Amino acid sequence: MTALRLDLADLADFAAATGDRNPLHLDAEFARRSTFGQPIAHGVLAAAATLAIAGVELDGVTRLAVAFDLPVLPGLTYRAQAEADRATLRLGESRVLTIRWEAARTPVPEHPLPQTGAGCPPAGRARVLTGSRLAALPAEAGTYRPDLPGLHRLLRRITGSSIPGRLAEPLAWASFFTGMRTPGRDALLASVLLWLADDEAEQANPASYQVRAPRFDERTGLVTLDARLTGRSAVRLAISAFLRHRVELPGFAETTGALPRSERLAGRTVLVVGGSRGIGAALAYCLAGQAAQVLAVSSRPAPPECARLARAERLAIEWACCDAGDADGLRAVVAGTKLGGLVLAAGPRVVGLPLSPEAVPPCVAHVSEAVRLAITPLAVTAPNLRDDPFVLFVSSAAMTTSEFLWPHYVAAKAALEGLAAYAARHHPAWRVVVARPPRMRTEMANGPASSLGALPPSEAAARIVARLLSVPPAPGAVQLIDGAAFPGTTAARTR
Amino acid sequence: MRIEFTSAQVRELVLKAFAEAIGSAPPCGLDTTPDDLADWTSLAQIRMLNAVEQQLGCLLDERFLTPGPALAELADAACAAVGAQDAP
Repeated sequence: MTALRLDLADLADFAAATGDRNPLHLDAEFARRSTFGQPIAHGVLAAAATLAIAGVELDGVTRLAVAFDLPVLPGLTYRAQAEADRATLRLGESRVLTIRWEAARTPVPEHPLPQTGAGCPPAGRARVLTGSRLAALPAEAGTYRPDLPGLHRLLRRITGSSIPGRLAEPLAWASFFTGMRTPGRDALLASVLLWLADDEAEQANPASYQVRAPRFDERTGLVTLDARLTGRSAVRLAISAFLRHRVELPGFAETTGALPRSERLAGRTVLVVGGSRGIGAALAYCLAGQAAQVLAVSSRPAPPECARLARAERLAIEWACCDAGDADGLRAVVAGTKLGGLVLAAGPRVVGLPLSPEAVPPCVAHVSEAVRLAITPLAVTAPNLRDDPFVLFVSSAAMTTSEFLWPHYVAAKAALEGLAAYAARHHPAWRVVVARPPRMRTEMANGPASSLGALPPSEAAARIVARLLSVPPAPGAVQLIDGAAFPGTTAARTR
Repeated sequence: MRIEFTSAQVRELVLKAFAEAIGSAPPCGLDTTPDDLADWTSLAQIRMLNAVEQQLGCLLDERFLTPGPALAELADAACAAVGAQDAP
């Protein structure tokens, strides 16, 4: 068993060698906005490094299958383990990827492939595709010239070894094509299957490739590609990758069914922390729909659509750009304002982590950041809260329907709810409310299957505010808005 | 041309798709559930379902997109989707 740890410089070198410059691996700001909240390693880099570490004889391999289960995060230490016909990479006990190989001749699929297709221009930026565009893509053909010596140097630097060029080249192409072309920018590689000919007579430099028109599954965003690459050898490939969903901003119109407009919060100014996206933005709309004056703060500027929607619906919302952990910034936002309500909806992104010693540092960092983003605005705004404010803590149904890879998320929400209990006990004039909405269609749940059956955040927000307005205050106690307030939602099981 | 499958062929295909997607044969055959195997992940489930649907030329219910149902339920749904009959 051997340790594998990648860093951001490895990702940059892999991108330079293969041409896979997908921003999810290289652009910290783009990655921060993604479901992972940080750059993740190229799957093929992790797979190639795992193969190099395995140290097995791969020259005669005729079939190689790589399957990805979890993202590889730079800075964490993974364990690579090799057996006779497979190698796995794990974080703790959780499998991250598997590679299996065969040396016997195996049947190669007989899909007809185009000799020509839409030419592939030099890829500067990763192509951005929607599901409908992807479903209509034609076959594609082009040439590919990776820096294989550079890739070998990188693998040797990371692992002390490398892999045969006849494997490295098609794996590099699979990374390049999925990351830059199809599905492109919003890709997440799921599997790569190679059938390798042992005939070296077909060598070509640069390599040429032909790809059939992709198949697209709208339910999951799964894209399957059949391809041929002729370079150091002739290789047939079957690749699957996900097109990550576009997460729509919450709307307002769909909230008025469960929460008709009213004047019930007239005269109250409410600060919504984390109010530009997801459940925070939806809560801002709902509160303004009840005639509250809303101050919405977020670490990044609110999308222009938010202000447009507020103007169109005559909602009194002002947005301010300020990190929830920035005490001075928050103080400036609320200076001179008496707050009739505070909503704590900011939180860090959640990337799945197992309960294992290797994952302790990022788990602790997540809990720390989540607490910082709640306790800072609570502490800063406490003097500004008027005599009868409500303080809404946005927790999660995951508190009771625990997700296997979310020990840190559950711990962070438990800490948030502990803070709520403290606030209720020591500030009996405050109306303290904890909401545990179910899984919602936000960037946090933007995985291949995790958005299935998820609740639109606007619907969750409408139900939370309706309950807030209908249940009488209970001084000194925490009021819980949980499962009963969200009928018809189910917990999806995920690993 | 529509290919006809027997129930036994569909079940065999499901078992093979499982082994390919999850990386090992199901330890309890078609009675295997996600509780039997830690490596039965969400992505592996989607890979398996995609393989079954591609090979049978059908679409199965969305509840099979996430781990949960036993393998036998998936096999039964696949048999029903393609009208597979027991061989005489």
